[in-house]
Amino acid sequence: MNCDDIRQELEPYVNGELDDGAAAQVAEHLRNCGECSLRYAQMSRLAQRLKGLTDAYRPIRDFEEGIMHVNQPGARHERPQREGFWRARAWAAAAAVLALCLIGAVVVASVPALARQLPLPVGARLGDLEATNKQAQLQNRQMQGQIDKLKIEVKNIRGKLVNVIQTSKEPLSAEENYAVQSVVMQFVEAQYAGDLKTMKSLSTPAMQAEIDAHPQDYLRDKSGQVTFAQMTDVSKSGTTYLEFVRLIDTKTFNESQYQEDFELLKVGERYLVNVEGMDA
Amino acid sequence: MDDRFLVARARAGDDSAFAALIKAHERSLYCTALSLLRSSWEASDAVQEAFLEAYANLQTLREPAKFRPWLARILVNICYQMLGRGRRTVPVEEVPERAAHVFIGSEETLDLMAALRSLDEEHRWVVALRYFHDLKVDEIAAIMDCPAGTVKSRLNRALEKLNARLAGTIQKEVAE
Repeated sequence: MNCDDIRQELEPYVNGELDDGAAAQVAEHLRNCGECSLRYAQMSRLAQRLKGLTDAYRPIRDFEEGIMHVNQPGARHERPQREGFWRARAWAAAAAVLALCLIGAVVVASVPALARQLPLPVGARLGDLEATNKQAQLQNRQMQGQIDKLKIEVKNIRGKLVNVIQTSKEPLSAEENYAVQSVVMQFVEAQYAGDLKTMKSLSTPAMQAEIDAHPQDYLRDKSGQVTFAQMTDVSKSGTTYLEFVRLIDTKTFNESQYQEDFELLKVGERYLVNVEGMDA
Repeated sequence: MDDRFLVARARAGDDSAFAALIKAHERSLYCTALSLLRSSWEASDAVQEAFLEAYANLQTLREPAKFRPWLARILVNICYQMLGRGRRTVPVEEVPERAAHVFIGSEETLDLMAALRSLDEEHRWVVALRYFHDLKVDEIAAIMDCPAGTVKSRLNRALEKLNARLAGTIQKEVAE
């Protein structure tokens, strides 16, 4: 086999997938070819790093405290109930299992009759699920009462008057709120100005990499005008600052509002965007 | 613990066994979804949906030893659907959510994920299935519905591109 043939086999060789004969041929070639040997070393290192990538993402389990915690207005950032999503599933009972280990905070609004007939272990859990459902309904009613008491204030942020809705249970200082909200506002303005440089200057390295990888996901239509319809006050979870903005966009989202969700980190004295995502 | 054993127990109604399967595979699924989809939110949704489908259809899995490729195929289908659907939309009345996974890796790891996300979709798929799910070339070919030779050449090409995009860091590591 020549170098080209060997290089075609390097990836399966690195992963131990060649049969003994082919592996021996590759090994023999690598002993005698410096260039292929270097390629093999680089590919092995890259393969090792790729395999290690899964360890870099940790599932969040601190919201396993469940529905009680999620239904607090101060905990808006936690995984919310997603009734539409779950209700549509005949096998919604699976949520009872998944909720414990994956999400921890799922509210199933109703148990479809079909689920009772399923030949899955699901049936045995229906009783539990219905009890959870009743509890959730009660909590939803309590939550509605709390929502009714939410405070909305008109605030001047960077010269713009914005409705700021108080959602956090333990409000941060006015200075922190203003600083975080200003960064978010500048970021949104830069999105509409097509100004990647400013967006990145307001971002953590992780977010900068994300913007570099998918700039189109973060840029908005430059010809549109954006209005800040509403912002939440800033809430804090661990070291993460959370800010949710409702926007009116004359171009892309004509006649409706949409939402951008921000997570920021404090780096030195600055607040930097670490995650930005669009909601409807 | 062995997937076969856990699948057998889960099929017999042991939910803790299914929970153990989730724990064993959620990071692989999340990394795959993250490398393919547009945001960490979408990736978390895809993982969640994949486990729900797996739970609902566990009895249809013919060979419990093939749980890993079977689960990967479910995720692939979900990601395809989400990619085809365009931007995810969430009803206005829902409260905002945050992604269900946090990044705890190094800057180099972040560069690697960014480099992976910058590849063509076909290259991202094969790398994710190979390195996050530890699948064989034949298993990837079956999932992607293409010849094994195509998977091999895509893997080679993808790794070459990654090597080039990591701007010499791999070369430096190897030299050290």
